Amino acid sequence: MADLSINLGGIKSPNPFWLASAPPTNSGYQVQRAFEAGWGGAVWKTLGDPILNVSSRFAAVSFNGQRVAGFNNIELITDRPLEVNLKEIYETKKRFPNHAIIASLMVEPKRHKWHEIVKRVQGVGVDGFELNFGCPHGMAERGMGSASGQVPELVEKQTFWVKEVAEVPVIVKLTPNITDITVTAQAAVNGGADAISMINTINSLAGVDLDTWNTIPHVGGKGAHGGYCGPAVKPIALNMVGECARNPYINVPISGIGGVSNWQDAAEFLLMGATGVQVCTAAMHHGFSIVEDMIDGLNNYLDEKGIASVMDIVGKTVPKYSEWGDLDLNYKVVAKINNDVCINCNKCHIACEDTSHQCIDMLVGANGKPMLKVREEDCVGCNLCSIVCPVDGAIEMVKLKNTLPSMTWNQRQEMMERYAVNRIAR
Amino acid sequence: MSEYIEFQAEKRKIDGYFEDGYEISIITEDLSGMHIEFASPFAADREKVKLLLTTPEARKYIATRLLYPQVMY
Repeated sequence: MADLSINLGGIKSPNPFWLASAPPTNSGYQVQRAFEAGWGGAVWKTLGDPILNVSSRFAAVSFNGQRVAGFNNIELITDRPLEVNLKEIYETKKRFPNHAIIASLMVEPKRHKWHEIVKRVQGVGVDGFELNFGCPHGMAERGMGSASGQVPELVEKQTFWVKEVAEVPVIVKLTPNITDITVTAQAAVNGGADAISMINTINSLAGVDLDTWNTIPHVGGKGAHGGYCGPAVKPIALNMVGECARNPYINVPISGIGGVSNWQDAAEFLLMGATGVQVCTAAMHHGFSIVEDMIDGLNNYLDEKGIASVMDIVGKTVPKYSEWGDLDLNYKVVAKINNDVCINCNKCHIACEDTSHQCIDMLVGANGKPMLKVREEDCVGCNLCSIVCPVDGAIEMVKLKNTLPSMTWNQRQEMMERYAVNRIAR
Repeated sequence: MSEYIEFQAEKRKIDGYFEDGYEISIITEDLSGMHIEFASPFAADREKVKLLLTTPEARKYIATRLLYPQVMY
């Protein structure tokens, strides 16, 4: 049995699976049930001045029968008085002293506001704070959430204000609704953050009803943008985690958020540099019990690899994540079709012929039956055929023996400069 | 025509110039591709020839040759 416990910037947790600040962590009843189910930590639904919500708050995007491929919400932070939340946090912590309870906070970007809420909340024994600089709807219109999270100076300043009075670790939750998340991540570090978490939800509109022309969701015929999460956002989140993890100026732990639905997703985030993960949509879709499979799966994965602690895989993929200009232009893979497995659906041929490099031929085999064959010399190794192929094992991308030594774009450009006209003129 | 065939044709020209002792003096790149000016070190007037490379594989190939001149191609 591998050791699944983590230490994220001073916050200890029996396993890396936390519930994200969201509807599943709205109350003590829910968080205690989550801990009973096995979750290692919970980020309490954001505390602040109690808000007013609208009815009809969630919407989901299904894709080809996959329910909740993406999830959209326009719900705001807690609508309950601070005293009620604090009482339930205290009771929950008392019952589960070894589980991590992190209080998500959001107030106006004013020093006294941050000091007030931090002092009041830490009194009940939370293990850490998460500053919500990411919520993209509703609160942002009031200058909070992503509105302040998109301004590096405000991220740094507010983090600093919190650190002035916080006695427990401070995580800064970042918005993906920004061109370069490493800029705001660095601002958080400069402000004294003990850790960062990402990503909050992405500005979104789930859809439009073609009969009524209403937005989805709509509130009495009117809609507003929401925040998008769920499996569809995982690649975006994974990149942002990786970009921060490999940035030498962002030297604090990362809590990974964004479409984590199973132990494999969690392991990917850990390998990409996250010390733990936060989950929301998968729990909303399937319930708290999904954490059982997450724990078992991650534990078995570590055991099979002979790894004693989950902390030992954190960031192992980061050195492999680089700039495009550092990739080898002479590395080459080509598609190989296994005709014993291929069902001749021709999807690879159509994809290649219509949208790629026209290198899969439809032939007739010696047995008189149709067969597909890749002209390797014309294959650029784009992977498209293997992506669209519906049969596992029918198309394999095979690495060719290098005929040319490695050359990156950056090396090429440096070398080409020697032969440039203007250089010779000089 | 297969791009591979186009690449092979351009590669033969590149190899041919190098085998004849030509050296690259200037390379420019523009919307048409890579323009290479070869100069012969043997001719008294340093005879120059120009070659336009259009295929990506040929442009990779010649850059690799220049980056690794000691490798046998």
